[in-house]
Amino acid sequence: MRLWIGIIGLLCTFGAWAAPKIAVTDLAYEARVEEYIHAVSASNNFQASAYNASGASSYSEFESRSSYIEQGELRKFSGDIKGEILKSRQFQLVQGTPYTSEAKGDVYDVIKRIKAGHFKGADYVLFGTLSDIDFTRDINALDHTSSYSAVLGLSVVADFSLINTRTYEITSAFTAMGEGQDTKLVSSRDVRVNLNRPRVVREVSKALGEDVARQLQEQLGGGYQEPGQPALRNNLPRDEAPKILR
Amino acid sequence: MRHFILGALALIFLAGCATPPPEPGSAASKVVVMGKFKGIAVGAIRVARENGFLTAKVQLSNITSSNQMMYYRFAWLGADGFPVGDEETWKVLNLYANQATFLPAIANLPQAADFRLEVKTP
Repeated sequence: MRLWIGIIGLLCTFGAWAAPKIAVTDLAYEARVEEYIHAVSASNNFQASAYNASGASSYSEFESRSSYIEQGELRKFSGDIKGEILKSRQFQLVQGTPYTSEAKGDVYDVIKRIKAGHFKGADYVLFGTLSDIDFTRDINALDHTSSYSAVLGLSVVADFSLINTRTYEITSAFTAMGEGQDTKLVSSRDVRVNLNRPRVVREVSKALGEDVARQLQEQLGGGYQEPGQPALRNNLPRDEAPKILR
Repeated sequence: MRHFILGALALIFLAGCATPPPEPGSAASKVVVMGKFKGIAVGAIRVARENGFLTAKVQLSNITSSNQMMYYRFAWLGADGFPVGDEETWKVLNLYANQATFLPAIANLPQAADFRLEVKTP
């Protein structure tokens, strides 16, 4: 009997210690795709003989403009987010079902996706939506030299919510940003400049992952600080209210 | 025989009346009397962490109608209950007859999480 109580106690302890399971979605996005079709067909037919002449010409033009909204998930930037979450040791990761082009539902309707069992076994879903993504390519002249600097930059901003899969409570929500750039010095003799695009993508992914982990940590405890309080500028412990011992 | 039983009973009674150890977290639990400490009462203690350092203010009052002198020093302890930093030197405090005063102290290291006030009178 005692043995059983001990075993049950141990199991309870392990149950309490197990980190909550979290599924990280890829960044959902919605893009407007536009199509423009302009078809022109013209034909001209003319016959003439000594006595008569006939001519026919036809012209037709077809113009169409259609646009549709495409929904999908950007799969490039979630690796480092998962990596940083694993590093924090606060959560266990679970792979959810990715949203593919065959999927019927709305990518943003996360509740429907949770109910449909896309994130089986997860206690939380870190749902990310892409707010903005921007590649910039600049060539700037450097003063007093004949060189230029070529810059390839990428910024990604995504909006995240940590949603409880049972109660649909949002445990934390934030916007995270990742930035990266590759710079090369170019002279006028260089014919073609190739900037390292994969490295920029990797840098952005890493920065985004770190930002997500930092903000999760801030909101879920550990280094959380109240917005009203000034930020700590050193490693000293936070002040405590006075206690009167009697 | 009767005297022996009465004596034993008195001893048991007195042992029951012996002062219990101070409650943890009370002011008395922070004060360590080294040898003799007479004529001075330790009152409430204010403990706070200010600018990252533990601070303490201890209320002391001379309960006699003559001037008293006491020696004191603070021992700063870390979260594990072991001392942090170097030992402080003993300091002297003079209290006039029936004077009440506050003894302020700041920990020498931010790691200090608790303290003990060691006191004695000559």
